[in-house]
Amino acid sequence: MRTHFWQGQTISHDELISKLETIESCIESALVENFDVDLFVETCDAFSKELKYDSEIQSRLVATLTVQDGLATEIAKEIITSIADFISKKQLKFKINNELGSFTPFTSNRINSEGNVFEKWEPLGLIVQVLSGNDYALPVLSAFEGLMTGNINILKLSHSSSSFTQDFFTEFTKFSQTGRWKSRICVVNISSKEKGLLERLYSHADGVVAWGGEEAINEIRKSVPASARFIDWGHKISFSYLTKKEWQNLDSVKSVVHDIFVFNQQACSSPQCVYLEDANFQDLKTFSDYLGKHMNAVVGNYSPNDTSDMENAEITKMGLIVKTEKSLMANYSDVIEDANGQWRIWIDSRTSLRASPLYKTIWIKPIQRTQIVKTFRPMKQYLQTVGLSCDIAELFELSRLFYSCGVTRIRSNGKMQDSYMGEPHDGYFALNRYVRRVSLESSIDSLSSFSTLNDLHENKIHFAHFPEKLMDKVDFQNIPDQASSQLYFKSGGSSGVSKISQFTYVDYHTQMRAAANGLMAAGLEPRKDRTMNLFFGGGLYGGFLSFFTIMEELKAVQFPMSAYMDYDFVGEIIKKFHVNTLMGMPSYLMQLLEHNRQWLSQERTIEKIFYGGEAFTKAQIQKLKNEFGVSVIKSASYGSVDMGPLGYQCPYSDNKTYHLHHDIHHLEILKLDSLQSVEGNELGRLIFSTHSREDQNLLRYDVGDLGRWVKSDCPCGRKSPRFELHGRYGDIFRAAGSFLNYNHIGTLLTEKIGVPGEFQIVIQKHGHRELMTVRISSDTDETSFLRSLSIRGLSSMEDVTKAFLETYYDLDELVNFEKVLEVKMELVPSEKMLRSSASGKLLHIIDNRGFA
Amino acid sequence: MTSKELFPPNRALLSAVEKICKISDPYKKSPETDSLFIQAMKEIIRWHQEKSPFYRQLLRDSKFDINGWDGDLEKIPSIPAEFFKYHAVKSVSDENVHINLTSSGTSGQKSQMFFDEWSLGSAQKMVDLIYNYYGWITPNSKANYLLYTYQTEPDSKLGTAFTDNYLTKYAPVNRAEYCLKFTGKGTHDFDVFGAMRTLQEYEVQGLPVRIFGFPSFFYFTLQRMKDLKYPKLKLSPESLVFLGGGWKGYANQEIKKSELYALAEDILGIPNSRLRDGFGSVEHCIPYIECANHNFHAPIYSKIIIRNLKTLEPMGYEQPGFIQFISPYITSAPAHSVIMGDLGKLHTGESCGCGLKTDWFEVLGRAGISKNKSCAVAAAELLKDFV
Repeated sequence: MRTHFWQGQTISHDELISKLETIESCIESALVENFDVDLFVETCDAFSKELKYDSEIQSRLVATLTVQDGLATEIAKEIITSIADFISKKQLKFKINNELGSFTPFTSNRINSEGNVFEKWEPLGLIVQVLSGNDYALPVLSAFEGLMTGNINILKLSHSSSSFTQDFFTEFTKFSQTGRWKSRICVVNISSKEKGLLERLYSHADGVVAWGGEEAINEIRKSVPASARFIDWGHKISFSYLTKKEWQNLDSVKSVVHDIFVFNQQACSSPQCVYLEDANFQDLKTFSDYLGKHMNAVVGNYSPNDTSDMENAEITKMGLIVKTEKSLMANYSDVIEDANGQWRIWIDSRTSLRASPLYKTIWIKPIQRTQIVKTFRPMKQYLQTVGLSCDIAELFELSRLFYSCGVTRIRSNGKMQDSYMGEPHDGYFALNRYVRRVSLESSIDSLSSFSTLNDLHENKIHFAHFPEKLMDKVDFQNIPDQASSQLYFKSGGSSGVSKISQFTYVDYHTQMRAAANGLMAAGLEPRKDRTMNLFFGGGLYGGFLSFFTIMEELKAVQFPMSAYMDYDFVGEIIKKFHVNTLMGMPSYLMQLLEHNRQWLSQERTIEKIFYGGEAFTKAQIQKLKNEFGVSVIKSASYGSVDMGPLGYQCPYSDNKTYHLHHDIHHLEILKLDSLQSVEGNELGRLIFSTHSREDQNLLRYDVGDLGRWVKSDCPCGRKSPRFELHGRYGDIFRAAGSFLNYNHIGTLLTEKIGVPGEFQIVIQKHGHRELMTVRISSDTDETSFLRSLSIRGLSSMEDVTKAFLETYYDLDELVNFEKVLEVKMELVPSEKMLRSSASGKLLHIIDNRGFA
Repeated sequence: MTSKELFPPNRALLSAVEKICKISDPYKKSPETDSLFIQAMKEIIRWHQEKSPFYRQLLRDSKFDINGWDGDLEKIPSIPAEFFKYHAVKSVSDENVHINLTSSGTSGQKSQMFFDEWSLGSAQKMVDLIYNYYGWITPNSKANYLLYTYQTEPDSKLGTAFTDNYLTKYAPVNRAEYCLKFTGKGTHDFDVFGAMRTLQEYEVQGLPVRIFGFPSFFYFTLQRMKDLKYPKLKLSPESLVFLGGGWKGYANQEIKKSELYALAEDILGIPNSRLRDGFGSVEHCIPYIECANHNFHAPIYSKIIIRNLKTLEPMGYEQPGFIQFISPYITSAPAHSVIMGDLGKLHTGESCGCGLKTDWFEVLGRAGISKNKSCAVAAAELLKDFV
């Protein structure tokens, strides 16, 4: 009873026929969805782990190979391990990025700064893969190349092949994590003789992959319609080439023997001929004699030939011809053979490339350099590797000659079979053949601030394991140094204790790309704007450097000034080079602008400001707009060094609202005192989990900020979730037994009292009660200050305090009703305000009560 | 029945060769024919040693001394048939070359064999003798011919075409139709409907029908008649089907001979004993024609040895190996002992049961591989003439 494996189930032959009738609708949903390559990689990684360690899945698959196919257990395990390595996260990501040029190849990305053109890779669709031959791992690996490129794959194996492929994918589609891919993989048992049925199958395909010899491939090619891309992986031939100096040095013989003997010469990269440049017949003989001696010496180190009768016949037949040719004329051909029949050297005076029957059978031939193209180019579709031994002075010329003949791989003799990760195969990056490059252009105006169309689509990141516990700063500080880390930045924040965060360059660029995307969304126009990067740098601080990279990523005009103290010079450059955009920390920016106020407020050249590190006060914003003519004031990015950029503003964001970088982070907003999610408008703790770190798990990290969801759709069109920032969680403090909010105090001070400047709170013990001192930054005297407030008639700081308490009910209760807290307000010159020694940021709460 | 008598190039030196090739009972094996055979082999070896520098060197390289030869056929050095694909060797001067024939290989190299009048003529004579032995020579009985061979272009060098023209001499031609018709552009088209129509016409006429040529096209005709549900034909019981040339090019559609014969008997009504296959090759022209039990018996003009696939040791009976043919008939080229690329088994004459006493062999397929099980290219895939 003939059965097939179809999308996770075993079906009968009759059922297959009916499946073919509805195949288009069956694959439609898989074709329409945007292939989530990240999810694919994550889930394969989980399956890979099952394969590597002693699991039930592993033992079942080992059993197929040992019991059914008679392989030794170690060999079976090796095969399974090689597949497991191939589908591990690390290797999959490397291959995808290496061959498709991006970790997110299926995301539409802007390719220019003028106009809205976005390009991406798109899967071909339905791929039928035809495999002949007896390799166990190959069908599985070939299927994965089709799967990781987002295609639906139907594998047709030769009827004599093992059921290993089918068993493997049965396990794969049954496994919890990878079961979601079951609609994308089928294995059918159709014979090559059933031409009609095969043609029906091919007629639906977008691509047909053919593995095998020339005859098999040509047979398949005939039945494949023009509508399908034909992808052939055929048989290849390889040879060695030694220049005179090299073959005269008999040490070269040793390396040549290894390539011939290893793998029994069965690899497509095994040499079938050895060419000696400018050798005469006697030279060929001398070399071959020495070759034979060395072959004798080492043949025992390699596995013996396990030839079938027919393979023996081929060797004998060809050998007999060579021996007979010897009698035709002198110096025509010769044979040197192992007495035990393990290896053969066939010396041939003719230059033409010939296949050997393998199993340690090698042709030795002469050639002149001027004959290379004439000799090899006619065989171009079969050529693969040349094992080249030559001088450095000849390397360029010889490599050029071989490449022009169609050779795709040049290696040293002795290393012809060695491969490296990411190597192209037969002239292709394999994955390139399974995808199409597509583009989109649109005149929709608002797209000009988009750097990826992915933002128009809700993106969900998936994590293999989501922990129960949250991660905090202490956990973060306890992350050990990773061997793979390449970049180190200081992460400090306002809490004062500095910690060094570690990144790989891949992590860094993933994040910078996201931040660049965010900056564009916030209103930076890379083609138009001329930006001065005034963020602070040095001392491992990441600000200046990351924005340098972001600007470079955007190819935007940049003046990398950093937070330079010579305000005159800075102003000069702004003027001279028509800088219209500034980015930096508010405290620095305000001072810079103040210093250059005279000409800047006249000429009003600064149009945009992107800030980071802290926020402008409302008063500062007014000033920038009214006095300096700045029209766009947006956050450059919301993020932290630890986690990278977390959110960004769009043209429709107010100064509190941000879009989440949903392609690299997942956000939860949890209640203040439990792990439950907030409800409705409730303010909660922002908990981020990131996908953007290669070797670290930063999951459910409490960044210490407060916020709440903005549930409505954003008018900008982006589908990434939105949230409002409501300051530091550390801005919530307990005083006299109650929760108080620094941010809330700030809002009241600004809006209700009209306090213009910064402030900070010091709490200390005061007898039985606690004393909360509000230190307000002011460089004027008390009288001027009082006059500047929005409430008239306040004549002292005590009056201000009283007025303030009237606005804050909870606080007023503590002071005037429960009498557990005293509140005092005092004016402090700005330079005397307490700041973090690490970051220079203003400290919000200074707790001097003496408990932990 | 050649009109003029045929003689080897040197009657004195090749008298045993002449004698054995002219024995009229092709299958009558005796101690006399066996010893005559060895005599003839001695002569032919000496002949080629003298006439071909290549062969002379080959004997030297093989350390074979004809003067010290004890008559053991297994000791004679042999040449692989494929060798003749790459090298044109002959033992006669160019003006004595009567014809050279190419084999009907699928693609790639074709063998070029050189024949003088004697070599080709004696092989053809053997066909006469075997046809006569089986009673297929009917000078008084006309036949209608259906030829599954290539309609000859004016100067075709294909060996098979030559043979089949020749085969029409055993029964006078009433009508002859080719099935592989010349297109005028150097190619041939298989005219299956023409073949079917011709058979129907022949049935009406009632004369014995002689069908010669490739088994593949013959099979396609029968299958087509069956698919179209044509009424079965009953051709004259004196009809004869004589196939040859193999399934080249259609190897993937080849069916068992017994199935083909059963089909032919069913569709055409020709009795099983009149359905015969022939085996031959350009490198070794001795005709091997199926006996009544459909087995290839060697005529007394040749001997067969089966050789081990790895060591080339003689394998005797019932063991598979390379088929080696030995015959002294050929004087124009040193192809008197050739190892074929076919895999076969040798059996004693008695084991067949048809009454013939000479050994018979079966062909099991090609010996060797056409492609590797790995991804490395095999020789058969590099189908190009080499420089």
